[in-house]
Parts: sequence; C-alpha cells; structure tokens
Amino acid sequence: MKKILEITLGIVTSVGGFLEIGSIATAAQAGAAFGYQLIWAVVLGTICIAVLVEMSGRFAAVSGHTLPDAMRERFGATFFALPFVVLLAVSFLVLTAEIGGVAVALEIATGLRFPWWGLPVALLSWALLWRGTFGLIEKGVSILGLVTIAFAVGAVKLHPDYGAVARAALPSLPLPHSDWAKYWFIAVSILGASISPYLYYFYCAGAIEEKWDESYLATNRVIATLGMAFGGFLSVAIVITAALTFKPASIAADHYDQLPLLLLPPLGKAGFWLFLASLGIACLGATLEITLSLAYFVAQGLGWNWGEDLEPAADARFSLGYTLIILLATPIVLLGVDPLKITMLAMALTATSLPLGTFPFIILMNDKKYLREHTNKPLGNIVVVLISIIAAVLGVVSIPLEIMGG
Amino acid sequence: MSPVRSIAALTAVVLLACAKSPEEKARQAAETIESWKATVASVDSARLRKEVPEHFARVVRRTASEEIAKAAAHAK
Repeated sequence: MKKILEITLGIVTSVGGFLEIGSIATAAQAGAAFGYQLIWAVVLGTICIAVLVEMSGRFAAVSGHTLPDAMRERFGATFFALPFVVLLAVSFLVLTAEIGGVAVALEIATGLRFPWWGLPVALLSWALLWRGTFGLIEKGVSILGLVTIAFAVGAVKLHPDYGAVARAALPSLPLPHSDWAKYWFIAVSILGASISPYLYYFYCAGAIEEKWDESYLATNRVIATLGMAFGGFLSVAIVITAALTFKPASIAADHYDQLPLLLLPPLGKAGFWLFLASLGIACLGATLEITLSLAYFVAQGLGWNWGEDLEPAADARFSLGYTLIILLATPIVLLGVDPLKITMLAMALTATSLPLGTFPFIILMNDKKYLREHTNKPLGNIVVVLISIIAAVLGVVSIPLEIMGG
Repeated sequence: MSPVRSIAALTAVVLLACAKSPEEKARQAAETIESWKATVASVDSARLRKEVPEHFARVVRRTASEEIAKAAAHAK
C-alpha cells in the first residue's frame, strides 16, 4: 500500500514538472498551425525524457551520486565547465519564461499587466523555497497541477478523429506549400520543451533527497515511464484542442492573449478559468523546480553542502544560490519582454544544446564504477543519442531561419 | 579557405537563400491580420456569452490593434 501511494505521488509529481509554459505554448502553436501533424514531436520528446528520467533515478539510487557531482568527478572540472555554463544559461532563460508564465496568467485573470506581477511571483517562489521542504514543493504544487487534466477533458469533448491522431504519432514532413521553417522550428521547440534537462537533474536530486536505494529501481521505472507518459498525453491533448479550435478559426496562438481561448469551445466559461489556473500552477511548479534544479546543479557541481530539507543556515551557499537565481531571472519579466517569445527561443535553445548534457550522461550510465550491474542497455543509449542529435541538428538549422522569417 | 570560413560562408548563403521574399512577407502579414481579426471575433462572442471578463476582451482588442498595425507596417 505504501509503495502504491509512493508510485502514485511520484507519477503526479512527474506530470507536474512536464507541463509548463513551454509545453503548453509549443503544443498550442503546433495545433494551431499544423493540426495534428506535430504530435510525433511530442511523442518523440516524451519517449526521450522518460528514458532520461528513468536513467537519472537509477543513477542516483545505485551510485548515491547526483549527476553534476558525478560529471565533475568523472570528467574533471575543466571538461564539466562547458556543459555547466551552457546548461545554466539555457535553463536560466527557461526559468525567466516560467516566471513570465505565472505573471501572464495573473495578468489575464486580473487585468494588471504582467510586469507588475514579476516581483510578487518571484517573492512567492523564494518564500516557498525558503520555508518549504522538498516534499511540500514537489508534491504540493504537483497535486494542484492536476487541474491540467482539463486539457484532456477539453480534447475528448471536441471528438477528435482518433485514427488521425494515432497516425500523427509517426514522424512526417511538412505538407507542400506549408511554412517548413516554422514547422521545424516548432518541432524543435516541442522537443526542447519535452526534453528539459532541469527535469532529470531535479528528479535525480529528488531521489537523493528521498534517500532512494536499489530497492527503488522498479518504482523508479514505473514513475518515470507513467509520469512522463501522462505529461506527454496532456501535451498531445493541447495539440488536439488547438487543432480543433484555433486552426479552423485561423487563430495562430503566437501571442499569450490568444491562449486562454483554447478551452472556451469545449468547456465554456469554466474553460477560460481552468486554462489560467493550469498555466499559473504549472508555471509556478516549473519555477520552483527549475530554481531548485539550478541551485542543485551549481551546489553539486561545485561540491557545496545542499538539500531543500535542510534549514537555510545549514546549507547557506545553496540557499544563497537559489535566492540569486530568482533575483537574476526576474528583471527580464519586469522589463516587459514577451514571455511567449522568450519561451519559444528558450525551448529551441534547450533542444539545440541537448547533446552537451546527454552525451556525458550516457557515458556515466555505462560506467560500471557507478552503476555496477545496472548500466544501460543498448536501446536506452541509442534512443537518447539519436534524439539528442536530431534535436540539435534541427535546432541549428531552424532557429536562424525562424529568426530571419520574423 | 579555412574550414571555419567555409562553414560561415555556406551558412550565410543558405540563410540568404531562405530569407523571405516580399510575397512571403505579405502572405505572413495577411495571416497575422486574419489571426487577430478571428481572435477579436472569438473574444467578442465569448464576452456576449459572459464566458470571458470585460477587462480581458478590452486587452485583446488593444493587443489586436497593435499587432495588426505592426503586421501592416512589415508588409510594406
């Protein structure tokens, strides 16, 4: 019974980290522009992140190390510096987008422009991190995040062609005469939104915080697979809903003021408020996870004392780390930079920089010194390496094209 | 020519070749204008059904005017 509860909570928290402004915005734009066509990108991203999350949980449970700690130890500080800096920079941009996402939800709900909400959101996030425990942050926000099931309800109520949805799970080229630069840019952005490094770094740190050992390997597999699958399912639901509401109406969903219309046709007035609640809670959860993930990354990478369950005084540098991270991410929101534009760019950059994080990770996952008999099977290696390369190549090609295309 | 210069030159050629033509820019602007007109129509009918608050409908109309003006300027 305890194990079932642990697994259920684990799945819920996995969902909570998956859905955030990146996955919501990219899925909505994909459905609005290309119907069901880009569902394959969500499926591919979900498979990859499920594999990465399972790997990171297994790594923590067997080795007792976190990923940054092991990377520094295995590859040396000099080599680790490059992925460290790039992943920090990209995750920082994603964090800005998430704070912006909460602020946008509050703007639409109240009418007060989003830059004014930047500081209150930052303060709330900091206060939750300062006073809360890892369990409260991870599970509390994730349980609230179950409101995002509204996307699945909305999609079902629109009676999609399930055959067409299933066919769209296979990769496809853009249709003739469609905007192929936009198609690949959104595909890359979806991959970046799904395969966010902060997700598996956070999961790994969480496994250490919760003192997982080898007895948790089966639990880890179930949580990683079902949690990420459910998150991916909700992203697909957003693509379907946008395909059936925005696309017929020729609404492009490339501005945040258009997004709350997504659930109006299937759910009416409740749909408007459910969308805002979903956006606000999902982005708040992501803000907390990314901030913690960055603080973990820095503390573990530099060998500092760390732990969300410790009192701030016991891990002062870790606490100072997340305080500074939030402080530095907030000004961009205060300046009124469009959170949706930051989101799309952040997601595409995440995808482009994937190999920097995943390749060293794959090497660790095949190192018997850390994992003994629990190293990766060939399929896991192939899935991660292949998708990382695809994402990076698409990113290198499509980002400049999309920027040039305005 | 060094490999770095070759890659930079090739990248520049590809990007220039893929830059949008005036016709494509005009098409993109027309799509943006259509998108915002549809958004305003959708919000207005939702407002009449009391599905969205008044302040949201006002903001959308203002944003739509700004975005349509920007798109029209880009198309020129």
